[in-house]
This record gives sequence, C-alpha cells and structure tokens, in this order.
Amino acid sequence: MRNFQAITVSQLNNYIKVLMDSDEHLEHILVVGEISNFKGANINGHIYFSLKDEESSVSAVMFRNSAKYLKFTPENGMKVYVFGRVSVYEKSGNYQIYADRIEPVGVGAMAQAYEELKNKLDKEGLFDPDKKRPLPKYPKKIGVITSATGAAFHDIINVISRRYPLCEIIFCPAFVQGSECAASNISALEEINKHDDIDLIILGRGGGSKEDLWGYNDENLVRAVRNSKIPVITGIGHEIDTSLCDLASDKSAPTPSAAAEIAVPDIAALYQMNDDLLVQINKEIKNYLENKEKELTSLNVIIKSFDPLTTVNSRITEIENLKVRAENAIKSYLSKEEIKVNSLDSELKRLDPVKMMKKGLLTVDISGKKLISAKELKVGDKIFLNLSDGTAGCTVDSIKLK
Amino acid sequence: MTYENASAKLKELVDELEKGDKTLEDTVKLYDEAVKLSGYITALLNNAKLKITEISNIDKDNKVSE
Repeated sequence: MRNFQAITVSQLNNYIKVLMDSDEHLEHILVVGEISNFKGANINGHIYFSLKDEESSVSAVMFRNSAKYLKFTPENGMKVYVFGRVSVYEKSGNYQIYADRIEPVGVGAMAQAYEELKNKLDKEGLFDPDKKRPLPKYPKKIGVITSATGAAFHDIINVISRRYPLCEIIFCPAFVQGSECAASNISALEEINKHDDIDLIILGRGGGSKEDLWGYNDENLVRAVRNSKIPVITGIGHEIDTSLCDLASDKSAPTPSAAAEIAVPDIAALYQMNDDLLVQINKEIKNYLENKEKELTSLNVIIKSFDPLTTVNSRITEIENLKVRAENAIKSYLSKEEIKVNSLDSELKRLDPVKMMKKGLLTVDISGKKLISAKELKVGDKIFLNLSDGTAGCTVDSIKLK
Repeated sequence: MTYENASAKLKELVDELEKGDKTLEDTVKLYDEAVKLSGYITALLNNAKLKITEISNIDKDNKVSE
C-alpha cells in the first residue's frame, strides 16, 4: 500500500473519463434497449432516461440540440435504438450514453416520421400539382442554395456555365447535412427571397446516406420551399432519393446537375434558333422581292397594251391594206375599160369611110364615070353613090376643097 | 437588351416580314432591323460569361455556424 500514491476522486473520475473517451468502440455506439425512468424533457430541453434490458440498465442523456430533432415522443417501455457515445459524468462518476439520435425499434423511425409528415403536408395541399409554378424560360438571376464546399455547387456552376452563361448566379451557402441543415436552408431561402430580381432558386446537395439527407424532410424547410415567392427547383441526393422538399418544390430533379439542366435553356439551341430565324428572314425578303418583280412584269404587259404607238402602227397597217385594195380595184377597172375602148376603136377603124372608099366599098360617079376628086364636080351636078348593096342619086349643094 | 427581349423582338420582326403586306421601303427597313438584331443576339451569346455573386446571412444571423 505504501508504494501507492493517493489520487483525488476527481483525478480518478477524470482518468476513467479519458480512458473511455479514447476508446474508439465507445465513440460511436448503437445500443438497443427499453426506455425507463423517462420524465420528459427538463427545463433546459435535455432528456434523461435509462435504457434497460432484462438484466441490466444504463443511464442516458440526450441534450436539447439533438432532442429538438426527435421525430417522435419517447415513452417508458418503448424499445428504441440509441445512437451516440459513451462517456463519464465526472461529478458522479457515472458513465452514461450521450445520445445523438433515438429511433423506435420495428417500424423504422425515419420511415415512419417521413410517412406521417408526408401525409400531413399532403393533406394540407403542399404537394398539390396546381401549386407548382411555371419556371422562367430565360432566367436572369438564379439563386443557388447548397454547400460552399460540396460537389453539388461545382456541378451546378459547370452545367449553367456551359448551357446558359447569360445568367447570373447568386450563391447563398447552407449546410447540407447535420442538425443545422434545415435551419440554414430556411435562412438562405429567406435571404434570397429578399432579392426581387432573382427569378429562380436551385436548392440541392449531392448524394448521401438517408441520415445525411434527413434535413430535407424537415417540416419547416418543406414549408419554406413551398412558401418561397421565387420558384424553387430541388435536386437532392441521387435518383432514388425523394425528400419532402422535392415533393413541395415547383420542380424536382434527380440530382443537382439535373436541376441545373432544367433551370436553363441550352445555348446551342439558342444559336440554332437564331440561325434558323436568319435563314427565314432572308427567305422572306427574297419572296417579297420576287413577288414584287412578278407584279411589275404583269403591269408592264398591261401598260404596253395601252401604248399609243401600238395603236398608230396597227392603224397604219390597216390603211396600207386599204390602199393596196384600192389600187388593185382601180387597176382591174382600168384594164377592163381599156379592152372595151380597144374594141370600139377597132370597130371605128373598120367603118372609116375613107378607108371604105379606098377599099372600093364606096364609089361616086357622074353619068357612069367614077369620081376620085372633088375638083371634078360643080354645084348642081347629079351624082350617084354606089354602096355595097345599092345606088343612091344625089345633087351637089356645095363644094369645099381641102 | 436581354437575350429574352432580343429574341422575342426578332420573332416579331420575322412574323411581320412573313406577312409581306408592307411597302418595299418598310420591308427593307424591317429586313435591316432583323438582320442587325440577329447579329446582336449572336454577339450576346458569344460574349456571355457566367457571373457568380455570393450572399450569405450565416454570420450576421448567428443562427448557423460552423
């Protein structure tokens, strides 16, 4: 005994505490047992109880910071899982469980709490499809709520930077897991809603365990998402995870990247649309000019038909035709008359008395003596005209010499 | 002019052109305006760069801390 040096009680308890705290098995434990000695939360909001089974019992405490996230009301006799660590309360030397989380055994506390809250909020209409607002087609400012250090932020920035760098990101960091998750997200939603020029919010985080994502099932956060004046797209966890925030948001995406894809149009499509419009503009002006040209051509045809020169020319042709006809008519008349005159002339020539006399068809004689010249006659002579078919006796009245 | 406004305006101009009921002078004016606007949109898309601003109420509210 003499070889031992005495230590104080405090030193002993402290030593035991250090020993226990350095044991990694005790750092994170899960104990199953039945609640007893539970008297409700004390004035500070802490919960003290015992956990027991058929043979043993152990003290447990859950401080207010954790107790406020309890999704059920503990009762004596209830079989529960207690998550936490084991340490020593130095003042009494008692060791106890410091509980972070308590879940009822059997039903699956989280699932139960989730279903209960889901049903409650569903009845209130928080998830109604007609409450979901349309998202802006070309958002100008997008509020992003996620962790400053997580991959989700970079994913969102990358997607938007690639698809629609025309907008501006207003980033409001928040805790994406742990006890502060819901409160910090609510606070970020409130902050962003103070900015009238922000027209869309992306709220999200990358994948994680069910426990990690649990904050997104917080009733107040779910209500804050629904009550945001600015439409909210959620992208929480992975494809399989559906948080109550996802149900309450205006649009939910399977991941933060997918939320960013939904949030903005693709610049490639905008380039294409602009190119298509330019093609159409050029087509329209070409059509317009072609139509005008056609109109002009047909007008030209009409105008030409009214040209006075055309009328005059056609009249001239008409007149020339008439002239030719008139000339022909005159020519044919004249040639007929000429034939007539010629035949009369030849008749006249046939009946010429001188010629007749020369031909002996007409002879004059006095007392049987043929006369040739007028000088052989004197006034009062009796002469005889010998015609072709008879003789006529005549007396000379006068003589005129040529 | 924002992209949204510019693209909406361009669509209006194309619709007007499509009607084809304007005078030649007005049509040529419309055409010029539309081509210029299309060029403006291309420049807008070419020169766009994502802006990121951070706002935070974590510290001042003291509700939430690391």
